[in-house]
Amino acid sequence: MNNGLFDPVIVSFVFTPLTVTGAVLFALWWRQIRDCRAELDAPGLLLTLAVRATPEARRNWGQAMLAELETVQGRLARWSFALGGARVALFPPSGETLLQPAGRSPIFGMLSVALPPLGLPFIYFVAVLIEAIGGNPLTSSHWSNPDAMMIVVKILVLLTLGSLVAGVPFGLAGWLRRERMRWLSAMGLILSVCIFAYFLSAMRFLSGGD
Amino acid sequence: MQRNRLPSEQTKTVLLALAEDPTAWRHGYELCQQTGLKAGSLYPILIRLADRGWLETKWEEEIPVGRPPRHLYRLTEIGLEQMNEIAAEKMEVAKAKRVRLRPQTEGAS
Repeated sequence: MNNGLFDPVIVSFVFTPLTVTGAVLFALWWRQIRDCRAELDAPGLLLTLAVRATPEARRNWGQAMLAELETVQGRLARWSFALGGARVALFPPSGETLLQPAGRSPIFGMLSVALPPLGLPFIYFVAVLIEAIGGNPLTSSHWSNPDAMMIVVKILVLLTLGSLVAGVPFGLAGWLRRERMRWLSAMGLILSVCIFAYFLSAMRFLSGGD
Repeated sequence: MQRNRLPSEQTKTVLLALAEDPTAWRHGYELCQQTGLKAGSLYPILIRLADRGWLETKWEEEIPVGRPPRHLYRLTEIGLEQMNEIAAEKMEVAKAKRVRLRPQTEGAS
C-alpha cells in the first residue's frame, strides 16, 4: 500500500481530535474523582462518578448500588456490577418523556461529544478497508463497478462531514432539552466547531503540501 | 403518569425470587446472584417495582464498620397480591397447554 494512508502526518491528523477529546474527558473525570481516588478501585470510581450524575430523585438508588458494590468480590464481578450500575445511574428508569422540562438523560450531550472526534477515524478506517479490498476507487481497476463505488465513497464522505459537525445540532438539542450534565452539550458544540475548523485548516495544509 | 404494563419475564423472575421468603429483607447483589440478572437489568426492575408500590425499601439499620449501609428490599402487600395473580396466571397457562397437548398425546398412543 503506497498511497500514504500510513504516513505519520496523515495518521496524526486523523487521530488528533480523538486523542485531544479523550485527554480532556479523562482530565475532567480525574478532577471530579480527586476526593475518592485513593480509597476506591477502578469499578468503584466509575460507579461513583456515574452516581454523581444521577438525577436527584434517583440518587438514593445510586447510593444503594455503591453500597452494594462494596460487598461484591472478584475483579470481573466488580466490573460487571459497576458497568451495569453506571448505566442505570446515568439512565435510570423514570418514565420521562421528551416533553418533561428538566433532568433528562444526557443522550444528546453524549452524542455531541462522541460523534465529532470519531468522524476522521471513521473515514480513515473505511479508506484503509477500501484500499485493502480493491485499491483506490479513483485509480484502481480492481473494482467491477467503479461508478457505484464512487457513490459509496461520496456517501461515506458526507457521513464523515456530518459527524464532524454533529456536535452543533446535538449540543443545541441537549442544551435546549435541559439535559443533566449540560456542560456535555456545551462541550460538544464547541468541540464540533473546533474539530471542523481543524479539519479545514489541516486539509488546506495537506493539499498545499502536495 | 405510571404505566401499568404487564411485567416482563425478568420482572417475574425478580418477583418470584422476592416471594420465596416475603418477610425477609433482601440485598441487591444477592438478588443478582439468585436471579442470574446483571445489575444493569436488576436495578431498573427494582426501581420500577418500588415506583409501583410493589416493593418496600429501607437502609440497613446496623451499619457495619468499614462499609456504608446497604439498601434492602422486600415485597409489599400489593406486590404479594400481584405476585399471586402472576402465579395464578402461570398455572392457568400451564393448564391450558396440558389440555391442548392431551388429545395429541392420546391420539399418538
